Amino acid sequence: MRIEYIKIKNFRQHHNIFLEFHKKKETGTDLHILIANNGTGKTNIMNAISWCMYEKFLNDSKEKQATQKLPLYNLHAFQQAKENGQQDFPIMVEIKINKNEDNYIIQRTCNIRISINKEMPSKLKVTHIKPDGESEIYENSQLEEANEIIRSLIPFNIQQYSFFNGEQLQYYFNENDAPHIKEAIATMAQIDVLRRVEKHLNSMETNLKKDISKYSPDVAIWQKKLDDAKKKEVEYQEILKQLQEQATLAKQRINEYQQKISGNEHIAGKDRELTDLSRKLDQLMKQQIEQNKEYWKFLMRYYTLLATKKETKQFKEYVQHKEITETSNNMVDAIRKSLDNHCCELCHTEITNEIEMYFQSILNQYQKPNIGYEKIRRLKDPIEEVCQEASQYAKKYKSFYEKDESLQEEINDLNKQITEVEKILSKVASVEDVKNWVDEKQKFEKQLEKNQQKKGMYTERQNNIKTEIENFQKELDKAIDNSKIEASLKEKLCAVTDAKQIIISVQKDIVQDTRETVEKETKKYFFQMDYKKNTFNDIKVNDDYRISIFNQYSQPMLNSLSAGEQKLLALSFTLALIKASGYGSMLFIDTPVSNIDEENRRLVAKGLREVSKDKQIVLFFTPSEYDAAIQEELQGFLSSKRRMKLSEDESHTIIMEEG
Amino acid sequence: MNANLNPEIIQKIKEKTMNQEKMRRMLLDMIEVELKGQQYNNHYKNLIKTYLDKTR
Repeated sequence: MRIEYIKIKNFRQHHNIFLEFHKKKETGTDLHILIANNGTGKTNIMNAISWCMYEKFLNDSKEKQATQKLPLYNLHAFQQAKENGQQDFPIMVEIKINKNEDNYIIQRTCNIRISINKEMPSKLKVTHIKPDGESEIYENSQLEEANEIIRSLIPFNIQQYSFFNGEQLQYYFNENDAPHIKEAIATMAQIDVLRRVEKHLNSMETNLKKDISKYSPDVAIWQKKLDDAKKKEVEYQEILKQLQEQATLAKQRINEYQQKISGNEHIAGKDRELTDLSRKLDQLMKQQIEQNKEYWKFLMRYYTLLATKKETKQFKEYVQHKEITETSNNMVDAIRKSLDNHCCELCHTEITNEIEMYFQSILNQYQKPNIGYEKIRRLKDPIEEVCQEASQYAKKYKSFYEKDESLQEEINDLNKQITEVEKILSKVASVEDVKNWVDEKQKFEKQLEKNQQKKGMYTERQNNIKTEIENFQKELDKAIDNSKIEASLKEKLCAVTDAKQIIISVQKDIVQDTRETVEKETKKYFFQMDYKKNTFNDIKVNDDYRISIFNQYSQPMLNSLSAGEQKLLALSFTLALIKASGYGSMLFIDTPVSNIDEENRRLVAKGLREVSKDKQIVLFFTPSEYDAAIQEELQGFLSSKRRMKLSEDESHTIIMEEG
Repeated sequence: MNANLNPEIIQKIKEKTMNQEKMRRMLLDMIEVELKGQQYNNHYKNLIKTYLDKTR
């Protein structure tokens, strides 16, 4: 890869320059030098390239500080445009890069709005000229594609190894820079790309594992539940079948017995009825006997009562008369007392003569003797009772008669019923047989009833198990679906894991190979450039990309290297890094031999000269750096030699071609 | 594609995916996604799907 030309307009000191780079046909070298004093715009040529490609400046702390103060544009040209009344002031950098048979023209422009002194957003345009001459332009909406082309040429992360200040080389041996170098190498060798693939595959792997854990298809469990339920269903079907058979058999038996006892269904009942009637008749007969006994007692009692009825009546009348008489005697006593006291015993009023005479008349009338009255009085109640009882005869007799008649009627009725039942039963051959048949029939009827109950229970169970089977089937289907999802996820996981393993393996190999390549190439470049071939024996680059150099006695020599030797080693290491990256980018070095003595300068120049045979090298010297030793070493190998100086008014840089 | 990919990586992937043409294709496509700085998720998913569809 090489830069064919650089066009710069209004960028810092460069008002309008065009630098073309051709290989030197005679020597095959691609070595270009620019000689200029400090402050004439050497570094800004590299900054222009960096701005054009990445819209950033070189990774230089001094430059960073400077850019904070300096505007992007050429101050004099800007002022002139302002004075000319221009609205906008354009900045443009264009570079043409050749890679294999393809050419790329990268152009970045930026307008400064003069009235407000403001930089407008820059515009990038990349033209890809293919080997067949056809070209494709990427700009505006295709900005991403344009940047992608630039990244494919020289990624920003590794541009620091293509465009750098010579003083930077010594930092390679600073331990703090080692991780930075390692990262840069990872970028250059695209190990970071593999790392990103690995990281993303790893993330997918984790997510897939998480997803798989969500699906826990219990196919076996649901299948077992379903099978068990189906077994139960078969079992219930079998039981129902048996119950059905039993029911059929019971019905058949019931029919058989029904046929046998057909027409004699009532026989057993009649037989029982006869027994009941006979028992009832016995009770009534006993009741009649008891009633007869009572009747005879009644008759005996009333025979006496009725036989003495007349005398009893007379005696009663006598007692009643005696009672009246006795009552009069009491009254006589009272009258007598009243007369004696001249005061009424009842009302306690004084007795008049008239009353006295009246009382005397009553006394005369009732004054008779009282014989055995008390004895007679005691017979009054019994006589009254006997009379009362005797008067009840008719009523009681009627009651007895009616009861007897009713009982007799009941007995007659029962006898009649018994006769009728006996008549019916007498027609049947064997009552016992019928009874047995009825019993058997009833037994089967009960059995059938129980059977129906069981059938109902098992039918319900069967319905329940059918519902369960449906549910289990649904769960099983779901589990199978989940299982399919899980299988699909597992399949993906397997692919991801396989891919990740390959990427890790490739990554490991590339890391190892890159390190080996860097070590091998560093050694190759260094021994190609170095003159002390018998002093240094080996160079090692460890896994952290720390360089060690050993003498012929295998002693470490890094701290004993001269400034020139250190620069050569660093340059070798840089070239090795570029080689390992596979980008094959060019090398732009600012002040490559600063701070080193003549001998070592010669050494570096010689080394660069050798490298320029298969790599484009552009070197920026100060006039003092480009001394006789350098000139001598590079004489005859330079593809181009230019001098840069500021214009007389110091408004811009002038570039002059030399030999 | 893969013009920008380190040829060493391509070579290594080839070596590691002998007789696994579809896997090789998928890995190189994944690397391309990374080189282009695209969002990996959907691209990777599609690549895996394509790989599985082709290998079934």
